[in-house]
Amino acid sequence: MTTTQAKSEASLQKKPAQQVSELLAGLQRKRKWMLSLFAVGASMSWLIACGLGAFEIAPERVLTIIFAKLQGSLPEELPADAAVLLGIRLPRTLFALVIGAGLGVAGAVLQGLFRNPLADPGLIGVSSGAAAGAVVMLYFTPNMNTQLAGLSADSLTAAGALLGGLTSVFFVYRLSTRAGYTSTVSMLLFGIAINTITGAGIGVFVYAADEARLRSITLWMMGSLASADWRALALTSCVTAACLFSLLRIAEPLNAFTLGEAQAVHLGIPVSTLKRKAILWCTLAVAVGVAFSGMIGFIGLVIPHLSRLILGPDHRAVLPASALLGAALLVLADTLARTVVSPAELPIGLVTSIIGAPFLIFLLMQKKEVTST
Amino acid sequence: MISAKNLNLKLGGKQILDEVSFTISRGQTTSIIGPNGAGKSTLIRALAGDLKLDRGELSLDGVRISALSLRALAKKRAVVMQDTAVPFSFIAAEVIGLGTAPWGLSEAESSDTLGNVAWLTDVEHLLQQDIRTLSGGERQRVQIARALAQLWPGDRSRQVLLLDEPLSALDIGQQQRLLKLFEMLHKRGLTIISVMHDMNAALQSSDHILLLKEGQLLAAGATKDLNLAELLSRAFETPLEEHRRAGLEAPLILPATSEL
Repeated sequence: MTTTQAKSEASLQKKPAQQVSELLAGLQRKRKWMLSLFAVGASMSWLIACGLGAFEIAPERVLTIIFAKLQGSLPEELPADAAVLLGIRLPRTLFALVIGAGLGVAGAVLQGLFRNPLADPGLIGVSSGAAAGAVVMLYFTPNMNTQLAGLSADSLTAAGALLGGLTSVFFVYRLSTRAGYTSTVSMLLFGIAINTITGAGIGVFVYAADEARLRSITLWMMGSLASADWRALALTSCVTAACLFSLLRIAEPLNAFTLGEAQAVHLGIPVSTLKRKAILWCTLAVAVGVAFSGMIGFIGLVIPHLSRLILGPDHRAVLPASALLGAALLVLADTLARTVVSPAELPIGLVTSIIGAPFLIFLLMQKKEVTST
Repeated sequence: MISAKNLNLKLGGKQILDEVSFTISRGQTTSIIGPNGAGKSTLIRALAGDLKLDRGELSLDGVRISALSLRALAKKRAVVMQDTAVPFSFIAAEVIGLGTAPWGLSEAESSDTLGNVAWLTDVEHLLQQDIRTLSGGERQRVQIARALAQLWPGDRSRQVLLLDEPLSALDIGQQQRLLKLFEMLHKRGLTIISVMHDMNAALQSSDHILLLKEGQLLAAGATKDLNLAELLSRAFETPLEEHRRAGLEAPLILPATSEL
């Protein structure tokens, strides 16, 4: 008290801004280092993943082939390893990186938006909506050779999933918006409702499906990156790049948002715009991922958590970290999926769930010990 | 500094604010008091610009609040709400730093602001700590530091700090330390308006009161000019007495002994 009183008489100019500036600079240095480390880790994971599989290619050979391809100095008749790498492995691993990054960032943004570290992209209905869309398509295109309007069965499933995911989030968003105000609590509740409805819809199709359809539906629900090709990669890369760019830009206002919606408004943050942007870009990132790869659980939940544990909760660090770690984890999980029971493949969703669920249990058990809200 | 004319707000069929009018001048400290459900928190939220009023005009420093952009308003008033829980493990320095959001400061300016407000609110030793591990009083000080950081780069004599029950859930030691802090901020020219539950803390910390009951303004003015015992007895529907104690500027309000 006496110190406080003394302060009121003292001049304003002799405060230890030094201490604060060192503290903040230290935080920033640590974040830069860790992010660089994550970037290197993600690249290494990718390089190793390129080499592993039924046909093994040494990492330096992978790089040689890629450089040769870029310089156009590959022979007309490709050597076997180059053919495997360029035709199959490269699009697939890059695909895993892109989708993992999208899922990671979307999860991190939604956890910030819902101010809940246990939020998941599935909460707002995007995954279940996409699943419903995909199931409808799988039901009506039972045969791999089915074509419609020049689209293959795979593309039709992807299109159905994309449409389904976007539609269900649109409903959740519209239902939770009254008089221009979107309530995040309502979004969670309507998300549950929409998830239930789409779940029931999926149930109807599963019930009506025959053995062959049932199998393709079940496998799709567990996720796979096997459909990756250069065209799918090009599309997902463009969409995900736009999502990452837009979502990284809202990192700072998202920090203020975690104080509470009213507090963010008091700090001058236009929260309606923030919510709209966050929902739109997260939905796109997740929907495009789910469309081409099926259901991949837990990346959007666990990766942001991991990023926060390592770097603290500042979204300027958490968002890029979640992108990098999400990319690394998915490319590694996919490598496991295609090598463990080779030449067969495990569904990728199975692998991420097997890794993710125990981690979630670990996080929940930790939560009891921290003073919680 | 602040002028409110005929504020009206109806929520769920209930008149929460009923023709409330008052003015608050620069550098004044004001407590909003009244029985539970009188509309105190609603009034402070209206002053913060959070509510769309049914009728009435509210202006800050000569400009209608509804005409200001969010950002312009953020540079003029800071708010400390009751619910200050933060769901993530930000350290105190980061939370305080969020206060500078409206200004777009350089790193050096930002550290300078943080250093000043942390020193002023006595939270320097907490800067590196996880906000969720702080005690209620410490967290409240950090939130006040955050609010001060929001006002710091501007002209303090034209800004207002709004506090919703800043002393609730704090022990008497913490309360007294916060009251000292408010007094110091008042001396620096800041206009402070707070919702106060504790009558005596209200009288100790402010020179003016706004007394609300059932959405209506029962009294507004300098505490020294008001017949507090009579007004408060009427507002709270229980006999209260005003006591004076040597060395204490503000009167003490206690239940009337004649009734006991």
